[in-house]
Amino acid sequence: MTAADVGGITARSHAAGVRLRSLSRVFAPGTPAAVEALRSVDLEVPPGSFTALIGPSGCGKTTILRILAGLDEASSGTIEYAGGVEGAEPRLGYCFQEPRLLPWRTVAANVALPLELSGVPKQERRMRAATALGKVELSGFLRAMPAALSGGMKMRASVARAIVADPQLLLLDEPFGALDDVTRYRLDEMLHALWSTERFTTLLVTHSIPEAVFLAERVVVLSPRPGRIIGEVAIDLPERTKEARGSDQFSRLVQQVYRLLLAAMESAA
Amino acid sequence: MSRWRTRLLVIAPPVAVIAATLLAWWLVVRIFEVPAYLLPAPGAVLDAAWSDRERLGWGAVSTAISATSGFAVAAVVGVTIGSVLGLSRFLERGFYPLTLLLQMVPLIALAPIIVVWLGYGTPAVITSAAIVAVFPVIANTLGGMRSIDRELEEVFTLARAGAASRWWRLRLPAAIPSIVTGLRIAAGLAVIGAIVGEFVSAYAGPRAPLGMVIVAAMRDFRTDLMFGAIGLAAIVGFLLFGIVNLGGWLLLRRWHASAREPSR
Amino acid sequence: MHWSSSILRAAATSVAASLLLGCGDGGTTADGRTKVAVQLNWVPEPEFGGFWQAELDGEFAKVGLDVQLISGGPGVPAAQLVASGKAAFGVVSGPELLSINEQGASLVAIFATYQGDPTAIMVHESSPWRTLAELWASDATLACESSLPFVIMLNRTHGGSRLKFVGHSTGLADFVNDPRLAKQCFVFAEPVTLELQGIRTRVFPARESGFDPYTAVVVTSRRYLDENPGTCRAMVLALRRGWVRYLEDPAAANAAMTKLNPAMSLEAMNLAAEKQRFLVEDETTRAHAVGWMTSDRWRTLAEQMISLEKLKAVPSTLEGDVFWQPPVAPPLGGDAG
Repeated sequence: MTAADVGGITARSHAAGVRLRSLSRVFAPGTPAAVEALRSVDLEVPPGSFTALIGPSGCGKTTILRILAGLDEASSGTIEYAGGVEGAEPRLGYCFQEPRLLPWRTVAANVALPLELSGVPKQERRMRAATALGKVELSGFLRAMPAALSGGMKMRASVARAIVADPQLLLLDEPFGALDDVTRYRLDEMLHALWSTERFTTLLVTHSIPEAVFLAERVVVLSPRPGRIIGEVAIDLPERTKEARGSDQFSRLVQQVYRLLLAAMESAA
Repeated sequence: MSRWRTRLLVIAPPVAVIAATLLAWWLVVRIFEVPAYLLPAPGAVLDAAWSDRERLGWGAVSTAISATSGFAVAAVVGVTIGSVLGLSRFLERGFYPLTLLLQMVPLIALAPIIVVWLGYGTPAVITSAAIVAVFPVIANTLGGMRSIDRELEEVFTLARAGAASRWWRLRLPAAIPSIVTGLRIAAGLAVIGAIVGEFVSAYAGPRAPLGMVIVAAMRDFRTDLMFGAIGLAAIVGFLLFGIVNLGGWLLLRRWHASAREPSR
Repeated sequence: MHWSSSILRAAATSVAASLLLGCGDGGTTADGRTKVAVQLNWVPEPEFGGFWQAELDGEFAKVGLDVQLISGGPGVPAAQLVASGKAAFGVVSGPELLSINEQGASLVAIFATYQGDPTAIMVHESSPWRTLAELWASDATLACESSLPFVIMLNRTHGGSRLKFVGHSTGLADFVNDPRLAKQCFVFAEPVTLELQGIRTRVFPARESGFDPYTAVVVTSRRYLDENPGTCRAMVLALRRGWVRYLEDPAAANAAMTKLNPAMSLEAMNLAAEKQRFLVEDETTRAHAVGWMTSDRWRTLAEQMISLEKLKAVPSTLEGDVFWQPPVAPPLGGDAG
């Protein structure tokens, strides 16, 4: 596969596809404190798609992202990459729940950090950081220190850092969870605009059903711990604007995801 | 207007406390008729300091040079050792107890052997100052390096950053507030170390450092002059401390909470 | 040898001393002897031979005293301790007494062990300097207090502007390791110790400068003397007897002292005791008694110190104010107590 055709949208030629097969993760196995976080998760993410993972707290959503990012290791199962990377590890962008900016660096220097660590020359990384900050509407804050930014601005800088290296796979771990709703909606819109133009293969972990519905092409619902995939809802919204949030279709999709989630909780209980 | 008022509120309490202390000192000397060789009145100390101003001035300059040089050596050596030990748990476990142990060695016992090693004069004094000042720098550098945020570490793990890169881009800058704290302590200690070193290893004469002036004044029962020299040594320490504080503030003011508070 | 080189050690020792004094001074023993403490300004050495001899011979007991001898060291503020009443008696130098009295203390000398100054400057025999004048014309390094009166005196006669003065530490390590270092000493103490170790020195007595004060002077405070004249008299009488016996045969007292100060061997102590004799015994002491002082000597000292800007005025009264001494006991059957 060099370019995939997903839902009628042509993916960027270099976007990665991911396939998880029977992915399991047990923390502290064989001890009394053993926790089974994931049980045999199978998931296919086509190149250039936007997938949201939703589930109750502690269901292992974040663990999936951390395993993909190499911050954690699966106990068993495999990960296969496809698309523009053809088997090799894709270039990753990762956005944590917290901004995680280095307080002693300017916003631009924080955004440029992944480039700096992979040896991109100074001039080029300066330019690319400025571009990335432009995409998250922070062009005026290149030389500001993180401490001088609001929570929403810090998160935007963190998103800029995640996309600065032009990732083949973008992993977003509930990036706007700590923000107020107004800010959150605005950032959701910004993120949608960004994805629409760039078409990174995106995996978003979130607690918020409206956010998942608003952003994703597909919402995958996980069960409570140990996390398993219960089902998924295809999101076929014709447009994703402020107004769309009020539409009947939007509400229906939210309801659909909600019922699935509720069923997942009940099946566990 | 209110700005002047806030300023007054900042300056007035310490000034009042110092003035009250001087008054109490003066009263004690006056009421109990304390003889000068035991405790001179504050006025007598000022008189003695003024009439010997040239000797004290040169002494202060000499002591300040030694203390500052010792401090600089301690800063460079301390940050280097502390951050190298911070590179690995293994090194840290091996060497940290030794540095703690060395910190407990009383300088006064070492000073004579330093003279034997280095001979009399400023290098021996600077060494004394550096020896006492270096340990808080090592300890605080290492402490700062150890208390790295795991969350920030992950940012580097994501990029598969190497140990050297992490050290230079994460651990060292993250340790700066702690290093500055160590340097603040070191500034005061450097002056103490210089004075103790001077007791044993400095050259006497018209431009002798404060440590020598203190010894000579003590021997001549010039308690007034001795207090003057001690006061001046304290001022030298205070200035060095102030400079370090200012440097730390300039370094940290844009990002660290400890520096942002007092700026206003 | 008695000048401070370390304030820290001074502070520590004075704290220790004041704790010790709690049980050493004042009060009486079960058999009615008066307890007194003597604050020495150096470690046990032949300089204090008369004290240990008097103790060994029971002279203190005979005059009704129970004496505690407190060892000193570099930086021990003996003069301050006596002046402030922490010790009844102490050992200081003549210039120290005049200086501290001008700073508000009132010490009274009761016994001058040395009729002159045993301080000297020693150099290695291999060094090029044969006289004080040669040394003072050189750019040698001197481990010596630069503000000492005899140093200022020598500076006046010989210049000495090229000399470099450094702190005077107790040990001999600096001297042994540096063949070009000159060091302050006692004529009969350090050079003797070094000679026994095979290190040969050349010794220039400080007295050659013309400044030759009473040294190792036993002092008390004006107040203590006024309140306890009998005790002071008893102290002087016992010391005189102790010193006479020590000059005859110092071996027993030296053996006692070397136990307390192992750094100085018995051999060195015996040699030093012999070499210091000329300072303890001279025409004056033979005419009166060991430790005897005269107004003339004290006046000369005060005048010299004034010329060196170490003193502002000669005390108005010398005998009785600056020094006090009981008359010499009858030569035969003198059983004062």
